[in-house]
Amino acid sequence: MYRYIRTTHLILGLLSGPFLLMYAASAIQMAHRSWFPVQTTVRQESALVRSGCDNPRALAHELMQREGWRGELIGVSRTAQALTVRIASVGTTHDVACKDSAKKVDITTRTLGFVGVLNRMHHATGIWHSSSPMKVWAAAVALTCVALVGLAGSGLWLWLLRKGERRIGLILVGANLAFSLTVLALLRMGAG
Amino acid sequence: MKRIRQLLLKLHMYAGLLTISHLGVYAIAGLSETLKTNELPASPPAVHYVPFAPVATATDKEVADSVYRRLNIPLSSPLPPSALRRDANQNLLLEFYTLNGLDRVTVLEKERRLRIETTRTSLTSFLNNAHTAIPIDYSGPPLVRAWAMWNEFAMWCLAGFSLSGVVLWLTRPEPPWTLAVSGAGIGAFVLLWFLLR
Repeated sequence: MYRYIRTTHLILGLLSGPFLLMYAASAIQMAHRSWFPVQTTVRQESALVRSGCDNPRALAHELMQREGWRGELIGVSRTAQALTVRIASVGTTHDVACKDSAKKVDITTRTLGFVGVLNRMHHATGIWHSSSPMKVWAAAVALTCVALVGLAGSGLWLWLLRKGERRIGLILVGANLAFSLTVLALLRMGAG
Repeated sequence: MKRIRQLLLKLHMYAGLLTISHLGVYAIAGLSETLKTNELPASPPAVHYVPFAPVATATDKEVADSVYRRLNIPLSSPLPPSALRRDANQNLLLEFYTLNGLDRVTVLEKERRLRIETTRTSLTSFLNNAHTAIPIDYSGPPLVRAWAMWNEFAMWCLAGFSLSGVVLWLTRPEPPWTLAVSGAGIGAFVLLWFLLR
């Protein structure tokens, strides 16, 4: 039994390890933003497009196809000065602004550095996205969550099989559960 | 070497045991966010009114602080000046986000009352909000701060037992197939990184 549980724990850990490390590292980054500032590179350019500004979706499709942009159309906004189409992946955002000429657009591209991508990956969730990589990522996130439950369960089992560690382990688990459940219950009730 | 490995194994185990409930919270938060659809059917907020007359000479920030003290919304914090805005009718609009949801307060000066719209989150959304709590974002209620600190400790533990798990695996003779499993995990992550960035 011990070998079977340990192998399960090992497989789950090895498969989900890179994802868990990403979540841990990005969580620490968010808790200490001054230690790990997010760097952004901004590039501005103009381009001619075939699709008119009156059809933002066709415009987005044309630019994504022609320029090889990854991601998805995440917003269309209109002000008195311009119509702006935003196309974004986790680490790159393109703001395409149609101003005076319907066939000429101004493009502002913001690219996040390593820390920024790590941060955005932490927030990237949901199977509702239209981009295929995002759907795959969402599935990977779900599998990581399932693996996390499996790791916790198999880890608990492995600990229970180690008789010498039962007493101290019981204190640690008891302290964690008592504190967490009490605080969460109080928070949910609005106490505090 | 053996002694160091034994110590690392203990740390790996203790870090996991100390954060066992957080792992559950993180898993629920991740699954609920994954399965959430883009357009959620929002449950209708509960609306009620409270008499309130702001001091005529008060600034928006002073009114917001006065509303905060008057309503005493559980788990909320005073609003920073950047969060103050006005609606289409020029009424001061105050949004108090808490782990349990949102209280949107409209200061109806002419009517000398406050309109309060309360939206309460589901349990999974509550746990999702709870998993995001970190000390730098919560200067308000002590219980939320305590949870936020405990949450940050769990983040470090997550990093700790993930890294120690890798070291434990590398420092013990394991079957060659474990390399393939590790390669699959790293490969999937790197591929998604390049596709998503």
